[in-house]
Amino acid sequence: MFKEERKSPQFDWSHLGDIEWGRPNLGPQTAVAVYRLMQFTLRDAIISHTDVATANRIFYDAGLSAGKAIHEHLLRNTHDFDRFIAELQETLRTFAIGILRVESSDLLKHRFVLTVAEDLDCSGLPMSDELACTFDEGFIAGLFSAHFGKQFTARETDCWCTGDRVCRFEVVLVDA
Amino acid sequence: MEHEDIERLDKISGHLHALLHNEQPALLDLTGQQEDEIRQVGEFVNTFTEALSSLTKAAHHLSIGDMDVAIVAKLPAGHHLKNLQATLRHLTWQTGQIAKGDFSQRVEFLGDFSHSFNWMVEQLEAYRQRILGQNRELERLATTDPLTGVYNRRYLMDFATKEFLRSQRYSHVFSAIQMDIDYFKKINDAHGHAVGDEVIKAFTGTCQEVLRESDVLGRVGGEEFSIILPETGREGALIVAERIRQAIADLKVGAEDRIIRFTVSIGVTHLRQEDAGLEAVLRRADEALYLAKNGGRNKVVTA
Repeated sequence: MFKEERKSPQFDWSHLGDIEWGRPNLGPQTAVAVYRLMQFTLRDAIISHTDVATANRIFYDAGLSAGKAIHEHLLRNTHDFDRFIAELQETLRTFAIGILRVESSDLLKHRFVLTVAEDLDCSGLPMSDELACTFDEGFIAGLFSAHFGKQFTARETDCWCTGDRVCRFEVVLVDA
Repeated sequence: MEHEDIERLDKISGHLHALLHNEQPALLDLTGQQEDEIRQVGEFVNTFTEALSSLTKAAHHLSIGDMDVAIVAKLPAGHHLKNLQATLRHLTWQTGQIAKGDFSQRVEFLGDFSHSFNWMVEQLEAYRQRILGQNRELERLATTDPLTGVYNRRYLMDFATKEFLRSQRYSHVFSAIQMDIDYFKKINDAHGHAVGDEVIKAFTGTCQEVLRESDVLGRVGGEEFSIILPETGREGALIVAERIRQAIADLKVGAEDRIIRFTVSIGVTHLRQEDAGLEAVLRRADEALYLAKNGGRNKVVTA
């Protein structure tokens, strides 16, 4: 299940397990620091063993799977874009992932600009002049790809680490 | 302190004074100066001056609604301006969404503005709901008979016209029923208009119990009524008409201390291939009704 060799993603929502059953006393929540500890030690290890580009690709692809899984299991899969955004905002808020806002949306050209404030991945990180939210890029691309049934890509243009207080993402259709 | 150093500090001091008094001094010329603490202070002042100039420019652009201005967030004030820029962009998008009819938009984290904006959206939605309700009520008043609640002549004719065109286009069938309450004038004269109204209401209520949801009953005159039965041929329409006739004949209307009984005459027809217009169908139903009246009343006649 977790340690089988594979050439393509095989993540399944069931891999998350029955948290309520497994953690009757501690419950489903954990600290943001713990999430970041996992993320940045993992990034550190991957870069140590490979390189930055590989680490970025891995984080992007993992985010892509996560975005698609969230869309399938937590959103109601409505075809209406406004309702999709409203549900996504609520879901990201419920799980304390971030505060999503839309700056522009062009449904004809399939181009969108989003911001995420109080981002789980990066808000409060030290300034580094680096765009840190590679996982988020994939995550947003996965959500949009699942919603539209077409392949989208997301690129971070502003980040807490580059001095912004919101992370900004441009989302576009691949080969539009 | 050397005289030269005092002059350099004077320049820096004058530069800062100018900044504090809304002037835009040129950057300090540090060329040829020795590497020391005073030169370093001068460099800091120049960096600060550039950042302040950039932020001032950005703040000016934002203040006139230019949200695309590039903001270099080198100072904490820059972070706040970028945050404001993101908020304004999102607000712009939200306003567009509200204009499109998405009244679920709410503004957060902007204090009194959030409260006022959200209240405005709630009020807009409330107004919209009120107008929709009023439109529905106006629509109802314009299309129904106030006494009985069944459709009026105008709605019935609109519906019949659409049904005629639809049936012709798709080679479907529909039927029309014309009804007239027998001796209604006598009921009115003998018992008064209030009782007459009760009779009419009892009549339409009984008809509606017999009809399907897709059938449309309308009051087209004082005691005259029509029914359009979509997707219904001659045999089906006859069954409906006979059920109505029988139900009305069995009906007892209580008025004060009396029981009123009455009957109805009914003419039935259905769409025929040769019918050039709706008028032909309705005329035939009227002729059938006339025959039912002249044939002794409390009858169903087809044509």
